[in-house]
Amino acid sequence: MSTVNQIPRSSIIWMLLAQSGVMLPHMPRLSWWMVAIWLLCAAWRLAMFRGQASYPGTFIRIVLVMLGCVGIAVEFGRLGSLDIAVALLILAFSLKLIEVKERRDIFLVLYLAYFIVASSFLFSQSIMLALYQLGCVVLITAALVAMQQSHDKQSALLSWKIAFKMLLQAVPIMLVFFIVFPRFGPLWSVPSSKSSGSTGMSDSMSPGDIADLSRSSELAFRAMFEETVPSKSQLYWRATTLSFFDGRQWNTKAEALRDDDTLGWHSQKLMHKPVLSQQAKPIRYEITMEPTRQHWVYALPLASADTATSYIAKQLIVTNDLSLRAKTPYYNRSIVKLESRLDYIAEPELGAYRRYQETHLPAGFNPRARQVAENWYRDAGSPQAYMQRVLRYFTEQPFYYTLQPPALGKHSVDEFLFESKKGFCEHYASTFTFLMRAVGIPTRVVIGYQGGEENPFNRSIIVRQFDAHAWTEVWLKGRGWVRVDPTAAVAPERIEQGLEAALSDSDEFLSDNLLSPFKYRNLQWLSWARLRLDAVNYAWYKWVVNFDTDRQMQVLKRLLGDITPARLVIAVMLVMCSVLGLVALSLLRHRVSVEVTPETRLYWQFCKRLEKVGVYPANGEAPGDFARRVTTQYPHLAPQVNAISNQYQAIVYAGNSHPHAVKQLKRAVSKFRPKKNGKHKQRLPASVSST
Amino acid sequence: MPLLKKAVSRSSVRPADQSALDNCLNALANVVLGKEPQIKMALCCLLARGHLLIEDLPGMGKTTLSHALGKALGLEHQRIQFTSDLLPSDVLGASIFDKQTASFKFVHGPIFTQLLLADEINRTTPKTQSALLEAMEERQVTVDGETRALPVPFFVIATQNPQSQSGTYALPESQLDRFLMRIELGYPDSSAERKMLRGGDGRSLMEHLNRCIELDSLFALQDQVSQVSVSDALLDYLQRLIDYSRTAADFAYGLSPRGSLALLQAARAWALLERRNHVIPEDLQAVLPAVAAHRLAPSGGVYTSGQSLVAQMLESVHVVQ
Repeated sequence: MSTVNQIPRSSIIWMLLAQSGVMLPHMPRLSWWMVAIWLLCAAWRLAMFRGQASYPGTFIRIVLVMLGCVGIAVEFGRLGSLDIAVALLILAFSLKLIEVKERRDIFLVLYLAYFIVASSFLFSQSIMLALYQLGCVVLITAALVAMQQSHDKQSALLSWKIAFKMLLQAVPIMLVFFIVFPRFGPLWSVPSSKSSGSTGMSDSMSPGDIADLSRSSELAFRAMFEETVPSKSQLYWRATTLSFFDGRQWNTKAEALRDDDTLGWHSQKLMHKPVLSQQAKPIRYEITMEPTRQHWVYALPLASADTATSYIAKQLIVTNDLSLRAKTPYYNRSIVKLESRLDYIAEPELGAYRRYQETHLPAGFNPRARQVAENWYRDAGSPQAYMQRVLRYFTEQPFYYTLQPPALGKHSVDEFLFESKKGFCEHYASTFTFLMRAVGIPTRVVIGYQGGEENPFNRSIIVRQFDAHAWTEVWLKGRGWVRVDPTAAVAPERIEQGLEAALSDSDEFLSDNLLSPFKYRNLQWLSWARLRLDAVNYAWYKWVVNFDTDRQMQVLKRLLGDITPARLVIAVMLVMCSVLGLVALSLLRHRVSVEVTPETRLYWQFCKRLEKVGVYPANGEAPGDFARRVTTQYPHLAPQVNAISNQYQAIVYAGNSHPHAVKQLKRAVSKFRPKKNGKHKQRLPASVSST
Repeated sequence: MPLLKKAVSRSSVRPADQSALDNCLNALANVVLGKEPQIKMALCCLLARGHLLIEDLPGMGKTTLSHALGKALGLEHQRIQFTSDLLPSDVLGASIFDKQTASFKFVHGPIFTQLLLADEINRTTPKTQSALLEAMEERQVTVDGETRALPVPFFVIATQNPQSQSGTYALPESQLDRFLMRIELGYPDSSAERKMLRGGDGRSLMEHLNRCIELDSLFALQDQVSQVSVSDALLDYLQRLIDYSRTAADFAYGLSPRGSLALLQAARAWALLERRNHVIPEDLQAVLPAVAAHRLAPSGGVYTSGQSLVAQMLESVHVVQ
């Protein structure tokens, strides 16, 4: 092996350092054996470097690759998912270590490291990860720089400095590309094999579901209102309605899910068009959906897509129960612009079949509850009075609002209503609906979120999983579907202040994760830091991660006024030129900073004049050589050029620094006006000689 | 320009010395055909009181050039053919027991001469090489505890084959540094080669070569070299060149202070040969390849020769700044 291709000592360290850096964010996703393979390869590589081990043979390498592939196939199963692709990339990245023999192999590993950095953004786009990966990019670049340094001039600090400087210089260009580069939609979508495991709403609800959800402080979504934020008790974020009860579980109606039933808001084909109040101004806001893998869009009641942004409207459907549904599930974080009208009458008329759907109860469940319901209804006389009677029962009887209700048997409503009297919102909602339906009043369960925390730093509403809620809607003649929240009767502080206030007597709130910052809300600085970070994260998602065509157009419009190709090109050119101009300026300043003697300044002036003719001294060209070159190329300039050049050399090299000599040089240079074409100059001496 | 003429007229080289120098150049050019630049460089080296290393393939005229130099300068000269079994005493001399006087008598080795032609210096062992190289630097020889001065002037013209040739012991960097210049002859151009083929035997030409310069003229010229003036601007340029060789990434190491002194001395001699009493950048540039190339080495991972490093220096460093 020639010395040129040998791997320098420090390069191995750089490579391993860069590799560990980029692997770290992938660690939680990788299984233990992949980490083990990587560690094994790294240890092997180090041992080879110390001469304690030899390069693995072809057989061993093939076996390792096969083992890795089989392991990945067993681990992830489904082919073609994102995780499997990234796992293969990381496997190759790890195994390449034991193949590194020459310099170019290290380059390969380092270039691969850039890919690994990029691939981690497929899983998370948080600002913290972005900052970390930025650091990794500097590290990889520094490693590349170190590879190019000579043996005896190596310095880690210098590599870092150079890498940092190079990347800093690239920032303006990156920004320009970020702003002007066309945004394409995803050309293909990569399914992630982890379809389960993320918390969030589902299409059904059984006792305990929402209580489970409420144990998590994970972010559900975020809302940003254009004008004033409605009061907290108004913030009922609907996901969907559940109308089908099998005795234990509430489900969405099968029909509501069918796409041909669920038509666009403006298509005039909605089965029951709601009656809108003409005076009320719509509330305009935007929702940042987290990747829920569900179709539901969480919105205030009677929401429709913001009419100003047509392309979002195309992706949304208003279903017959007036919830919002996206055509494709949310696999990525995305922003939806909505407008809601809180004042409306939904489904003013309820047909016989619809009435049957919304009052249906399975036979053979909860006989005691049915009996009581019929008695109360008889006493009350009207649906409204009956509703008040039921809610009063919740208030008067010792009902408890708790995250840990006792398990219920077959007749869950009976047991809850008359025995345990301890439940979470879904118990109250489902019991209330049952009691309503038992006497033939159309009622349905609504699931979604209630309330949310307002971030004072950017006025956004942060809704977390523990804000999950279930309530009901009752159909009343002439008023359509009316929201009734039985939980408000039991624990009004849940609606006014949130779950934490409702559970303030016990320590049930987030009892599973003691370290959650939400447990320590009364620590002022912690709360401050949490909300600040949240505001930063929100801005990051809104302006960087979610910088889509719409936002791009907005920004460009603000910057350029009107977006025309010519203006775009001019803007890009302007930025590029100013960057290059700055670089050039710094170079020029560097040159000027050297102390220049008057005669040398005159000489440069002379050279500059000659530049107009097309000749300029090369870097290493001595004044004498330059003068000879000029005079052979332009003989008509010879007398002047020779005079100036000789004078200059006499001053600078022969030590003739008499002030008179400099003056003479100055005179000669100021008179010197070279022209390519010698005719003009030649005519002059001719006329002189004739006189 | 009147000012410049005045500057040139201040040159205090005697016309006789100058013409002797010109004669020398012409006479040598007749013997070693088509190698005027190398001949001039070799003379420059001798005027600067430096030792000369001629490196090229066998048969390129290294020995011819060194012989011709010896004859034309009229110096007492000795030639040593270096071989792998040559011992230091073969070069320096040794004390031998004389039966008649019953005492040891020092027999001077071939090094005690004014001009030593060390042929194929890199074919001998490092031990013998260093015996010679010490004498070159100190201009004296110490044998059996007695120090003997070498004659004045003392020049060494060494020839060597390129290191890639088999059977060579490469001179280490520290010893290469002792040579002021290293020149390469290269193939002659076709017209010179034709002239050589027509002209017949080089040796007969050599025999007709007469002494062109007297010893006191040579001494006077050597003294004149140190009189050649050097301006601050030129020293700036010299320092920029040196600095470049020490900081640029492609250089394993830069020029040593001894190297920079050698460079200046050679440039002065060159200016004298150009009949100037001051050094200009062109002088520096003319001698730089011969003076610097053998003192430089590329850093690891870079495939270049000393020559191309010098070219890089010349191209990268501004003359006027």
